Amino acid sequence: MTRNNFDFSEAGGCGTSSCSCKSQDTGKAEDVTKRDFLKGSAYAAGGISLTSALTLFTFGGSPAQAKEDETAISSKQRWGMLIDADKCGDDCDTCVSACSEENGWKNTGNPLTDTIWIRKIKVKNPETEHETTMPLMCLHCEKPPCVDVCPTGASFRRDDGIVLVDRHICIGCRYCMMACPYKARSFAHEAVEDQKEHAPRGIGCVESCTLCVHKIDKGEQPACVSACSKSAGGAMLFGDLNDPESEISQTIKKYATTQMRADLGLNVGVRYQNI
Amino acid sequence: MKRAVLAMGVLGLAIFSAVQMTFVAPVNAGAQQLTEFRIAQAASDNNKSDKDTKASGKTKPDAAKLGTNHGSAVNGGECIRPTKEMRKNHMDMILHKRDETMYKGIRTKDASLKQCISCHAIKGDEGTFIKATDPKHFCRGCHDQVAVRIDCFDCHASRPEVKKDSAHLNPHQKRLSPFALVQDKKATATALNSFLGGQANDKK
Repeated sequence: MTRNNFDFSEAGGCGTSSCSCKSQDTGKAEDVTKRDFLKGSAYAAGGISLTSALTLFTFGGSPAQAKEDETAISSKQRWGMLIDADKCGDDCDTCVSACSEENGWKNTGNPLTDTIWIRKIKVKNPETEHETTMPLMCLHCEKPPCVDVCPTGASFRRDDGIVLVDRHICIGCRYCMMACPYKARSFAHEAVEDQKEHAPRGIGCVESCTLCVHKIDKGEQPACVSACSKSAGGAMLFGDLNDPESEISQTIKKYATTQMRADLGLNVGVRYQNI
Repeated sequence: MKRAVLAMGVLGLAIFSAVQMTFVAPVNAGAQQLTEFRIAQAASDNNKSDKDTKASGKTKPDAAKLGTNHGSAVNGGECIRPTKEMRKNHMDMILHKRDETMYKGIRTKDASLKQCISCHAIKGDEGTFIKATDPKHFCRGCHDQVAVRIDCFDCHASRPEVKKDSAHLNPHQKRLSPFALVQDKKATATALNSFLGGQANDKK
């Protein structure tokens, strides 16, 4: 399955995304079949629906353990997320707003060049016409293609599994944007003013979801997860995938979950449920 | 003969590795060592210049003459190191700290740019903290003097965060009326036309 066959159609509430919904080769807009979307996923093959039986206890959550300021991160943790598409509201964009507010990115009404750290996507099964919406951001792969292709070493993966851009050595070549199968990264075309002090960003660099690394280092949850559990459906569960006792580990052990484009073997940190 | 050649080879290798360990290893020393070295050097320089000053009976150079906004932190507290040391080494300190923070997640306040900005914030005439675009900004006091461009504030905030209604940051809630957008476009078009028109006139 080539990458061009895998295109996302945008959710209605997010008309300003930089995502192109057209195939690069044919130039035609293609509906994504649910089969394409799940192809390569061992878990999805059976098409088992556990929809009604599932309950995620996202309230209360499984937040990052607060670490001492002086302590370095380690590979004992691997931060990840589980998103339950059934609990994600069709027109809800609480996670997107929360991310934008937390990290200070905003767009200028220019969909081709605007910054997008997280967006809502909509997938439709043409046979049943069943639509599913869910947020999509950097999935924090274990084997990130963006890190593989980066010519300067600016794209890197922290020991705890968070994939980041070192803006000090990013030259803005955008090779990582080409490499990412999820279109998770965007390029800062415009000069930025009044950045958040915990989220530096500027013109000429590629950027993407940081999993709110500044909050995780303080032992808090990412902004989108808190916002979703506070004022939306509680569809997002954050936690440590390496800790067998964590709620996220328990949940993915018990229920069938999906890795987007599992056929690529990237072992993503953000998994989906009920898509 | 073969043994002699072999012995020479082994000896050569040994000498080579010894030389490498002596000369190359210090070059590969980490940023921290470099920083510590510079700090020590600065401290000795400080002592030296103090003695010189005392010996010659001259007064110390007035900090204010070097720039506009030197001195202790605006919040009244003391800086993390003596002023002279900071002047000489702040760039190495924040460089070292930056990598610790980004790669290791160590977010202590010592030598963090965020803390620099927080303490050395300066209020402008309007009572709000000024940005680095303002010549009165703390960093620009020296950087303008020595003509060293500051790259930090292309990405980093140059003033402490002001808590305000950030609802306008949300691109996904349709707050702007289409009319507002049209107005903006008109303004842009007008500005562009006048700019291009001005250029055209200049050419004539």
